Amino acid sequence: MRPKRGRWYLRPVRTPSRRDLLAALAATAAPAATGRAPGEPAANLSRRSSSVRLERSVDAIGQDAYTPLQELSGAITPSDLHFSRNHFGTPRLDAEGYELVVHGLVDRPTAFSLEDLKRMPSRCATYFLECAGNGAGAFHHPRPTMSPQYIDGATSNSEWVGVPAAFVLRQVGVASDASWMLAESHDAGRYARSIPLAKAYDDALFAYAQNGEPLRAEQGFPLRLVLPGWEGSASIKWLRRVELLSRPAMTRDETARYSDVALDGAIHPFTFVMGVKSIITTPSYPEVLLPGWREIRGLAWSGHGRIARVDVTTDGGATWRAAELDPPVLPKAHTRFRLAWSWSGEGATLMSRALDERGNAQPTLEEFRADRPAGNDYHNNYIRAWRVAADGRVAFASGC
Amino acid sequence: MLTGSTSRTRTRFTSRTVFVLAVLGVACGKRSTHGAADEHVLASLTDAGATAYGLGRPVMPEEVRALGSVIFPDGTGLPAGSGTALQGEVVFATRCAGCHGPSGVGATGPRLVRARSVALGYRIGRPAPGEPPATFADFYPYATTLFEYTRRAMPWNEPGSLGDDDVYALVAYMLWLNGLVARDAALDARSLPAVAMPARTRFREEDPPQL
Repeated sequence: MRPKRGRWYLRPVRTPSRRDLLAALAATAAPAATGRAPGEPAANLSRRSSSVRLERSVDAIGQDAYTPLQELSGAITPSDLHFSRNHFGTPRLDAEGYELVVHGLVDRPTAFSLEDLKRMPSRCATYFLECAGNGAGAFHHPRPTMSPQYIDGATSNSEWVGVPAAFVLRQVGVASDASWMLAESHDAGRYARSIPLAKAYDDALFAYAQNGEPLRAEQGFPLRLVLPGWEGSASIKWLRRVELLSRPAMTRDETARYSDVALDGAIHPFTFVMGVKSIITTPSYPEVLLPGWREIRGLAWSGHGRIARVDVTTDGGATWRAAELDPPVLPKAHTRFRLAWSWSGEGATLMSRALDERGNAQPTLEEFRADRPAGNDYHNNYIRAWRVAADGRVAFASGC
Repeated sequence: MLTGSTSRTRTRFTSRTVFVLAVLGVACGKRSTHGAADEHVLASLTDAGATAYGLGRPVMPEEVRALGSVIFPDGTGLPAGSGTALQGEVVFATRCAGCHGPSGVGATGPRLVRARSVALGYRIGRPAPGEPPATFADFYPYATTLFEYTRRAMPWNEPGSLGDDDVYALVAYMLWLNGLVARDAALDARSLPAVAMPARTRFREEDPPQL
């Protein structure tokens, strides 16, 4: 708009934008009359409220970080709170120049860029990851002052997007005598595991996205293996190469680690599936309860498939009731369960017991102990108990 | 046709023309959208379909060699070189003892030598009740596993920095500390796989993997 000549006072120096107007209003607004003033302008990243404190707990040597299960609602773990464990720190890789090399017993050894992988048919699914050793601390040295984060914080649940490993393998042409796939990481120690080819062709993903965005560095940016339902250590992060083999490589991390010792002393290296498991996340340590109605809530999962049922007891196992399962109940994913409960103010013992669609039942601690040597570190899926004292304090009670 | 002819009655346009349009529409739909969906699904399920995507670049044999490859229990993949426990003792003192302790008794890093009594430090094995914690000597099924791990992952703060002769020497030293090889025995690609590890008979790797 051009002002008429001479009316200099109508000539704008600069047309103010809407952002300028909002900022000016916010800056000059006086709260005196109503006590209200406009809030902050929109920022490019939303933030948690300053009154919300959510963190992973990190172990003394900076190797493991655990999800605060008792602080979360719903079944999806916020990406920055996903647990992690690694042996040589988190490498910071660039997407530019990154290649996944697939070689070995294949017709066409090939290097795929991230763009190549993202152009391929994709799969989007929600899966839990759980460390094989989740719960080992609570098994070896149980204490009443253990929270769900401390007991079972090495499990999280995310929506993963990636290309099916089967599709990538079909592109390179797998030789008929190949039966194993070695997956190796870019971490400093070149962590590597042998994966049976049947799993690769089943539901294995080369994943590049988690909860809607590219993988975080801690979860394996730019590409990781996701083996639904299997111990987390086999879902190699920071994938470097995949080599097709006719026999397992017997690396250090599938022999000296992540192998299971049986009662007769035999060592079984290929025990991949995480068993059916559940934990009540509230009430839990360190809560202090008031008498009256509340909802018992928790998470249940199984590496074999869907959760079929979760039973909850509040009287130490004398009686059990089926909890509600929040839909969708997905295979190999955390499932939220809940049960309304009125606490009388007297001592109570709470437990949850999960059953999966394959008929696997979560074992009691006694059943678990009878089945494993005392030195067992892995697959700790027995029933977790919480003791509510008369003063309302909640304490971990399994083996304490 | 789509706009119809004003000479036709409303009923005739509605019934016959719409019918013809519907048939054509379904047929067109099948060719354009259903066909494309079929190809997409097919591509995920067959070698031919997947290969047709034509993505990725071929890797040259020298690139594959540079990536490194598996060292198998039977010795396939072991590099050239050799070393004895005598030589390894020197390397250990300078490159390993800082974390693993003098003579491998353990410190911030795992204990490497079998304990005479209940041991201190990080436990890597699964002892029977009353037994001292195990070391690699009690738990590794193959000596080659110790080689492949030391070569790619050690020392912890500078992994992969040891030469192959040094790795053979260190492995020989660690095996000698545990009474599994002679102090002056030279380990190489031929003799290393032949070392019998006590845990070998405990492993059930031939069991079908639990899927």
